Amino acid sequence: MAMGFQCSIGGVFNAGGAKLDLMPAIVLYAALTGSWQQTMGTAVVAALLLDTPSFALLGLSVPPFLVMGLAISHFQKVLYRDHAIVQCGFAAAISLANSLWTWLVLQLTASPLPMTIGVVAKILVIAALAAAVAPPLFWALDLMRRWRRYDPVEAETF
Amino acid sequence: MLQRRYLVALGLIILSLLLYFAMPAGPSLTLKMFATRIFSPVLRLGTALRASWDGARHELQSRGVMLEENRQLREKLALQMQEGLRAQELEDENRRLREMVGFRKASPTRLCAARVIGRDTSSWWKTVFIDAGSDQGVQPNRAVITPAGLVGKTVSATRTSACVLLIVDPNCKVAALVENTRDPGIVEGAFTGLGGDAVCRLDFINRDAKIAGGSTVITSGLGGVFPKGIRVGSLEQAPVSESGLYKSARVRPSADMERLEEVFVILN
Repeated sequence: MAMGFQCSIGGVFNAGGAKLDLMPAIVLYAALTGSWQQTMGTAVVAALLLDTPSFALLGLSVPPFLVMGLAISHFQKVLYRDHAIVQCGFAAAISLANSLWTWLVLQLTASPLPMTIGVVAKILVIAALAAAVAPPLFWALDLMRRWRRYDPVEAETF
Repeated sequence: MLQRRYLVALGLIILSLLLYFAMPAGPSLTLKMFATRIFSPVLRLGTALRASWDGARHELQSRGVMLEENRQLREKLALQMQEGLRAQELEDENRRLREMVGFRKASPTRLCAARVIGRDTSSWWKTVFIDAGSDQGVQPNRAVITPAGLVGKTVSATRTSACVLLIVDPNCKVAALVENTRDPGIVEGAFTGLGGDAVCRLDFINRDAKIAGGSTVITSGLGGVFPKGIRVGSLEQAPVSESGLYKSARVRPSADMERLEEVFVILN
């Protein structure tokens, strides 16, 4: 659904060539909420979905999503997932990692992308958009999760 | 457990790198088109919602705006009718002249109208998806146009949809020539930064060519994908020689790449 929305909105909303990307926030949600297996599954599926309706070859986005997802998942217990700053910051970080990886791979192709001020600004705006969309997406996904089932309360010992 | 986690991750990363770097374009494209076919209904739903929203917004326009639009459309219609008559006259004359010099009658161009149903999810590539596929006769490597000019070419097609690579994408190369001087060159897209307009470049122009800014660029017909004579755009400035070997200049495409809604695929 997110991919379909992203693909359709590309023609309507376009901040100076920077498009809205929901996938970093979805990977972050899995990394902060689910197990490492779920994080890996979500990262791979989200990356493949992102590459499907794009001219990018299949599999381009898998490494950044996977590495960032697993790194965040590793520190899941010490991160306050409900805090908007955490959500925005890490969604921006995943988006930045993806853009930088794309840039790096493009340097190896026949049409390299020069790192101009405009390109840096575009990468930052893509990251800012990914950050901005994270809190509402977390809220919507939490709502859907609660709608499906309530998590059992676990007793914790300090 | 920790080790297993990172081993699986490492395996997946290596697999994805292999998928990206080692997989031939054919199977990768097949996989992508299969996935696109699955998501095609979602893309169509998005387009339908957008059309409904545009329709509702149009309904709510004030009477003054509608009257003004109506006046402009009437003016345009009158102009178009005149243009149509002139074109008809020219076509008749052309036909007569062709018959006189014994030219083979040019085969009529078959067009397939299509709506844009989605855009590239990435901010770095410039492709669109259209709602016409192999069922309508659309195959890869077919020129895609609008009344304003060239849009791009199809790179893949499923039964009901196709992916169009726009001329402003760096991967799209078009053999072109400057209309008034007939100097040939290659039009290719360029990666743009934030706020960068969707423009392309006309490269490999003869360094001795005398071309003025604003000249029209058309397809040259070389390469076999784009028929000759389709308007590509106009030169933003006179070409300059940066390398000393050849000249190049920015080309502003005639078709508005940011607002593509309906396009035509040239089937033959």
